[in-house]
Amino acid sequence: MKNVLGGLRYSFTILSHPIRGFYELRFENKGNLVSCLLLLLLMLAAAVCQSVYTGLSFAVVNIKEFHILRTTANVLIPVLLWCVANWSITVLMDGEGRFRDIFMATCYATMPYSVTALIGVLLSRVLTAEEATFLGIVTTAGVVLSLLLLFTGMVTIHQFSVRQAIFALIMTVAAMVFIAFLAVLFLSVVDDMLSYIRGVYIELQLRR
Amino acid sequence: MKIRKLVCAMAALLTASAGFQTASAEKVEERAFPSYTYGLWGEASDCPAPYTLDGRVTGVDLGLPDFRQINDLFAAANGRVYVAVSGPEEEDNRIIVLDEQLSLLETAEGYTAADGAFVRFGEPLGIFVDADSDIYICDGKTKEVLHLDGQFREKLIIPAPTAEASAIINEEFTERYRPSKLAVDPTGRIHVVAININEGIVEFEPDGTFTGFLAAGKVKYSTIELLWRRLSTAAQRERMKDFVPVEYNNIELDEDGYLFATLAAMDENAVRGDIQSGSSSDQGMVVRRLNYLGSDIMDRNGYGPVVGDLDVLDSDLSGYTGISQITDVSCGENGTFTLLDNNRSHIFTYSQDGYLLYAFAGPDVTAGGLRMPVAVTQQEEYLYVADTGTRSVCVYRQTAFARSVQQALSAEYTGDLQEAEAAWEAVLEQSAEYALAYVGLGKIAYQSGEYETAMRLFEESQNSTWYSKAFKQYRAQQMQRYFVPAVVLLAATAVLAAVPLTWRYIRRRRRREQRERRESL
Repeated sequence: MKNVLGGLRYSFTILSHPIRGFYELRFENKGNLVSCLLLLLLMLAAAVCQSVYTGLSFAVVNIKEFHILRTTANVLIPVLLWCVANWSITVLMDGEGRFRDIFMATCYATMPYSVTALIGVLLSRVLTAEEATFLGIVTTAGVVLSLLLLFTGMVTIHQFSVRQAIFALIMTVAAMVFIAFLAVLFLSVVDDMLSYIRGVYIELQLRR
Repeated sequence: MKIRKLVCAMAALLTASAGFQTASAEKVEERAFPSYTYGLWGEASDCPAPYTLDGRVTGVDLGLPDFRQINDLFAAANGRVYVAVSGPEEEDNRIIVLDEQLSLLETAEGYTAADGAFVRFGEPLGIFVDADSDIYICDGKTKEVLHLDGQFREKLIIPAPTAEASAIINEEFTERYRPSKLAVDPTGRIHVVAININEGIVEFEPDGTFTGFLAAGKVKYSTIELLWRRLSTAAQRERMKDFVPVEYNNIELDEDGYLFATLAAMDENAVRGDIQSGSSSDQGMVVRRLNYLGSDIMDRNGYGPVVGDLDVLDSDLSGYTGISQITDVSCGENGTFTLLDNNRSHIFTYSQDGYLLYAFAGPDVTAGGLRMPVAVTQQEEYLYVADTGTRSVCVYRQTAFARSVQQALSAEYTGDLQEAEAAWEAVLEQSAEYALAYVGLGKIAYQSGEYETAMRLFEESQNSTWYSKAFKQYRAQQMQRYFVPAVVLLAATAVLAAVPLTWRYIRRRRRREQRERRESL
């Protein structure tokens, strides 16, 4: 329990000293997996709150179309896809990060985004549409901070130079697109296969 | 015995089929066109029918030759309905005058010229009747605008503007000019929409002198388009026909004397973009309300842009694709206006501030719909549509539901809050889901200072703009109410914290002083 709390507190260390934070995460076993999963859960909670509790003045999604599973998938799939794609690229580029490090760094990097998103939800209930700029500043700051952390994390964990990191970033995005494409292809083939089996079964039943 | 059985069976069959027939007949009776409105997220929600089909007449019904092509329709203040019809034969081109129930009053195949001769109409494309029953006709063949009196006698004939008469046009303009629709404002100025003309609305003085163009479409380039144009060669630029300014296709005068104009050559992607973003861009406006300077002054505060159907983004099974093609606009009471879509044959009525009140009709002719509507006009509780697909003129009559909505709008217009509240309540009794009624009630609550109720009602109708307004007032109210207590509370905590602190400080100082005194001793 104490360990988990310490892990959560470690996200603030990373926020204030990103390079040292990520370095110690990779090479000195700071931070822990359970707290990372909790941060992921926080991000999910932020996404849910954003679509359910945002004040009507700022609502951007139809509450009637809200679906918890879809929201979960929208949060988890990109994160996991990023980790897998990043791992598969950096392994080829002699990056020093293990999968566990990539996942933990990614989770720690999402913290500013989740927190500002939650603050944004609170703000959306006390601000009016005319004051939308303030809300915009807060949420944009969160996104920018998270992306910066993600980049720093990649540089530090894999011990890359900035140029290598940018190249790895581009390759990772390409790999994500590629994996998504393969997944869609696989699903459609499986769908076709299942419908073929079903067709054969129905045919057999009717001919009996 | 066998025969008896057979007879019995046949009788049973007969009664059964008779029963079946009555059942299907009832079903036909129940068939009705859809009527709906759109909410904040662009989803259609059903509402009671605002109009029902009251009658439909073809040329043959009136004992006349078939209507080959119905071009325009005008319901005059005196209750008469004027129909402009054209066709390939000479006698197909005529003006038909009907009463408000669509019974034939008279027909005219031409007019009496000033010298007493009878002149046939070439191709009457548009008609307008002013308050003195003077008739104005756009003739697409002779390129003239005819100003006739109520008995079809010539008062003035306005030929196509020529290069000699005006410096801003050339012979090529006169060549392609084909007047098609017109409106005459109370001062007698004539506004003409012409086919092939994208310079704007052609304006004439009451005496027929051409004065210029109104609301010429501005060609706007986006940054990317500008960059693209810069990169392309002169020959490529020459072939770029995308940047055609607007061409109006219909025109109507509202009760305040402003012009409503609909646009023909619309950029479909701009309209789709507007639907998706829920905003209105210059390129995506299918209807404009123009002031005397030609700037658009329409209020667009409703759910989604004023472009007709909003759920055009998903492909549906009906086989209809694409945005609504607005062919005509008609102004009704309380600043409402009605658009006619000849893609899905829907009729849309909007309130003055741009809320879709209701949309109805559709392509199902057997259910009272329309096949290829071209013109719409309204007079009191009647709405007339020219349907060139069925070669008929239809009259729709307002239902109790639409009347309640109009009553509420009229009460809002005059500022009678109590009457407006009663009228909106009456609307809700007929349709508890009608979002606009909650908006109306919310506005009333807002105006009478009940901001919390207003917030609840705006939340019910998912109206974020008004919700934000009401919330601002509510927040100010709450701040005012809790400002003094909050300050008092803060002051009290400060005092409570300060007393022991000061006490401790004083004690310490005293001790220090004592110590110092002792040391100095």
